Amino acid sequence: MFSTSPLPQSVADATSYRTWVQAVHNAIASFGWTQTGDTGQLTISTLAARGNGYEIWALGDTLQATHPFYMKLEYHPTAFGPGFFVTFGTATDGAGNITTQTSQRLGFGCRTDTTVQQNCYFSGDTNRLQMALWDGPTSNESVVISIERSKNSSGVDTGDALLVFLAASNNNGTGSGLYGAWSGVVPSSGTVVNAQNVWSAPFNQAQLTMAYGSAIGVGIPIPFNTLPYQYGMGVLIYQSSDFGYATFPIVPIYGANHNYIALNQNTYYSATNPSCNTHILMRYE
Amino acid sequence: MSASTFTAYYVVENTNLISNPLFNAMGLSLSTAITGASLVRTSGPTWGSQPSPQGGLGLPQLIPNTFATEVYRFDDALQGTYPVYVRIEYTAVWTNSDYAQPGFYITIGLDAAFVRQGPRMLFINWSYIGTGDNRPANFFLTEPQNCYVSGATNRLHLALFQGPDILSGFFLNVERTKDTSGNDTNEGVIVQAVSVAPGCSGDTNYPEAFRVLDQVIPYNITVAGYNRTMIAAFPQNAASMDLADVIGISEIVPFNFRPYNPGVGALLYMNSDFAPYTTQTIPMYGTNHTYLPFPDLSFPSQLTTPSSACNLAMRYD
Repeated sequence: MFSTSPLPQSVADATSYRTWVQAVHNAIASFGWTQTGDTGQLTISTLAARGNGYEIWALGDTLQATHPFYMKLEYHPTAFGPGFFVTFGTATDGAGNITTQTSQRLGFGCRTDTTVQQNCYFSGDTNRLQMALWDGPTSNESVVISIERSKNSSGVDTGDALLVFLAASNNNGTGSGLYGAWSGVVPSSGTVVNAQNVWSAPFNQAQLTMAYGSAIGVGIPIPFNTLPYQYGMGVLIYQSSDFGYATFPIVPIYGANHNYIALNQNTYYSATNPSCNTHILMRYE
Repeated sequence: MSASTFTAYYVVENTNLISNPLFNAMGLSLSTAITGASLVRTSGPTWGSQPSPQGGLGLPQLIPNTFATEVYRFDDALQGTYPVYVRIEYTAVWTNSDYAQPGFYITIGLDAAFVRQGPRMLFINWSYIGTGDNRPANFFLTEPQNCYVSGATNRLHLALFQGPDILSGFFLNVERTKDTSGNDTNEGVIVQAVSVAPGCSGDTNYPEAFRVLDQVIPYNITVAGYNRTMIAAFPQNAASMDLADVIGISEIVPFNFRPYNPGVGALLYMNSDFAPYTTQTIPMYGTNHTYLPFPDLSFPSQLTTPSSACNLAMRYD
């Protein structure tokens, strides 16, 4: 499933804040995820300007019965605008805490606050969630979240882990700050390594296009938890000149065509990342 | 398919043209290993009486000359319609009248006449046994060095002069492009090469090269730095990919404009994860293959190579 909504990028205005939080809530619910019964969760209708609150969501696929994963999504403004914390794990304590296999708490968000509506894209299913909030037309501070189950070599879901890719323009004032592109893997058992501040992807930085004729290449970020995992399908990387902004490329992944949207958000520069000329393709179907 | 190891000297004479038996033995060993790997030798000298690369002809000179040339070809089913040829030239560079450094030119061609070819890659090592005036007149002469060759009718992998005391970094992988299942395709040829310096790409300080000679898309050599690095994804927050005795590796992604499916001839690993020169069984495209990790085929941190040190492992089966 997928949808597009123009939404304000604001937490300073309570009405705007509730509007986009409700849209996020509705999108996740529409994908078949289940909000848990944990106590203390946010009541959107009473959310105050610059207020904090959280929701906890469970994946809704058949693997959830045997290999559960949960996402705690905290609405927590940055010093400048909308912000989030996310935590992933394999259980909750019923009181709003992720337990058992637990990721680090990652904070990220925007640098500015505006009530001008920006393009927000939602895509997901019972086993995945992709969101790009405030990805233009005037704001260049989008927040991109991609969550999906790990894959086998044929691209079929496994219960091994949750693959997480994030990109944002600002940290959340925590000092540990998320800025740029982050990626991580939350395994269903074993050691959970902190996310890394990079989307590790094979990319030829010396060449500013991957297009020749009608063939256009894309970069596939590899998820790591010390070990490399089979890549996901939620997000890809493209050279900025190869696709127009907000166009809808069709990309074959694991032998099947999938629909993507070319986002304005880039992956930022880092050692294994492409330069800022490279942007994100988000699965959009 | 075949894998073999031999030891050899690479002798460079400094005075006159001499048919040095050690140089000829090296050429014969390499030739035997390549043909033993099922490639076909289409031309080359008769090893035994071949003059060895040498200096002493109006020195100093930086431009290498060629002293012997061999050509091999693939022998697979695609060779009839999409041929692949490998030309090896034995050469030497000398920078003053006292010593010279041996090396190779290697060129990959898509036809027998090398009309459609990749760059003439220069493999030279500026390192020496000893330093300054103690450099030996005859390079590699103090003891034979380990050479590793593997291949089949559709691929060739060379790691030459990998110790014990000379770490030349001469590496070459030539194989056909792959489909998503790892089967050969006729799209082109994956070429991956390493030389310590000045680099097979001819790009000083960036000795690695990666490329695909595509049957359709022109070979791209116009972009600065294009040939510099082995492109792979690595974790940036770990110096190892060993987690609970499961060890990860990184596939090298070949490019010519677009990325191609990874080859099987070479891969990258974190240098602490495998003991040097110990065979490793690694699944690629769902099939186990044998690899040899080389501790001195390493890469600087730059561009898309990892920040943590990584080394190259060569398919060895």
